[in-house]
Amino acid sequence: MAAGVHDPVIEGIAAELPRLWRYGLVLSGNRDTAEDLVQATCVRALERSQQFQPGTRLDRWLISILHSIWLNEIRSRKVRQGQGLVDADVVLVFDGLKDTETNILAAQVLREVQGLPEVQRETVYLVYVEGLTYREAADALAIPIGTVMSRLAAARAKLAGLGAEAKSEAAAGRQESSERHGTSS
Amino acid sequence: MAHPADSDSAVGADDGILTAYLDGELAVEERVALEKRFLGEPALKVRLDRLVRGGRAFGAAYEVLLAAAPDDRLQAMLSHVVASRTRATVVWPRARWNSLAALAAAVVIFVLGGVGGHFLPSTLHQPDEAPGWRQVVAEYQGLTTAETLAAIPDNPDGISQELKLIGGKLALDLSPGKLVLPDAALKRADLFQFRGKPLVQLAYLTPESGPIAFCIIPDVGPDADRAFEERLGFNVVYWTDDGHSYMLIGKAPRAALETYAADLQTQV
Repeated sequence: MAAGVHDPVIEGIAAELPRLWRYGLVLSGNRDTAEDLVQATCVRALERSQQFQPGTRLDRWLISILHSIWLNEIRSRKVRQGQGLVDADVVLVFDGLKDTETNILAAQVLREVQGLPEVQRETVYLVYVEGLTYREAADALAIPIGTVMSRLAAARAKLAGLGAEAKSEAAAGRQESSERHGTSS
Repeated sequence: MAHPADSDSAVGADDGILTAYLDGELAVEERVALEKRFLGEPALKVRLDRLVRGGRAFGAAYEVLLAAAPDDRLQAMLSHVVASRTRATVVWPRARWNSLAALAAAVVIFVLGGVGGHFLPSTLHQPDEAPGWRQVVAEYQGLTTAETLAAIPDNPDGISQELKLIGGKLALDLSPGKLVLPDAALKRADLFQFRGKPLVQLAYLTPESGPIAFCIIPDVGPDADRAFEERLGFNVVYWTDDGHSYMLIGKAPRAALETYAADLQTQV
């Protein structure tokens, strides 16, 4: 049998399900799709359990599988069917958080990140939430490490802009002037 | 002309390296060099401060999302997938995925990797077709992406060993030197069973056209010249030679695939 009793994938995958679901939610913005992504990831991971190298991190391996399924199968199918990529369920999850001041702040962060372009959002999630190194994120997303860097930079620039909306016009103007100096070639 | 708000969010030339600096991803010498630049370039430091303000308490914010995960359903789903796999039959509990789910479910018992003498599910056959094996391979190829293969580390020694075993099953010399294709990396060699016959699949990854599979199955029928067909959106070149049928399948243009096929027919 390909998946024996001591298969490290079978033994370790159960503990990873909530975080895989969360990644699926970040990508798709939809609870059901997130659940489908986890299911497909489990199927795929068990099919390929022989390819998992014991001693390496199972969570990273599963993340790369889920990402691949999302990118190549689910996302393209949703777009093709004209369903678009709706964040409605994410909003519902966020709305359920507004009980305490802490949750209000959390909901604010989640909304801001969810408003980023998808490629920036998932890179932010993998590096700043899941704690992947740039190298690990590049591997999981099958992109060059420089792309990880530029996506994070773009996300930070965008989020800084959102934060600056609350600042005074004078402070913002000063910042923009400095930025132009810093970026002109 | 850029609106000021746009330039707020625009990515500056040094933003990547500044972000890597903030994230502790720079090598020591890069870090030292950047810190020297801060002294002479005040604008760079201003930009750094701006990127700092683009940080958030991401970890804490996303922690609360974990509480929303449907733990019970996820665990039940996993149990079902594992049990289905053990029984080598799959009854998918949810119908929303339709054909994708059905195909993925069938593939659960279409075990990948290694030389295990795995089993091709009869549910994937075209019931009336003599070339059923090409249909099965095409369906499976539809689940193979460039990412699937890119994730497999290059392991020439491992593949070489697998090819030796697989070649023995087919009574063919499948040494790696005979399987070289220009600009295509041989990533994996798998042995399956199809209607009681060994079916070998060699998976290549090409930079231009993604995955290409070269498959071989014993066939006692007469020899047949190379022919071309389109199947499930793939280009396929197939032929029969001296007791074996061969097929090469992928998204590569027909001409490229035929060139590859001619090489393989000569070499194997």
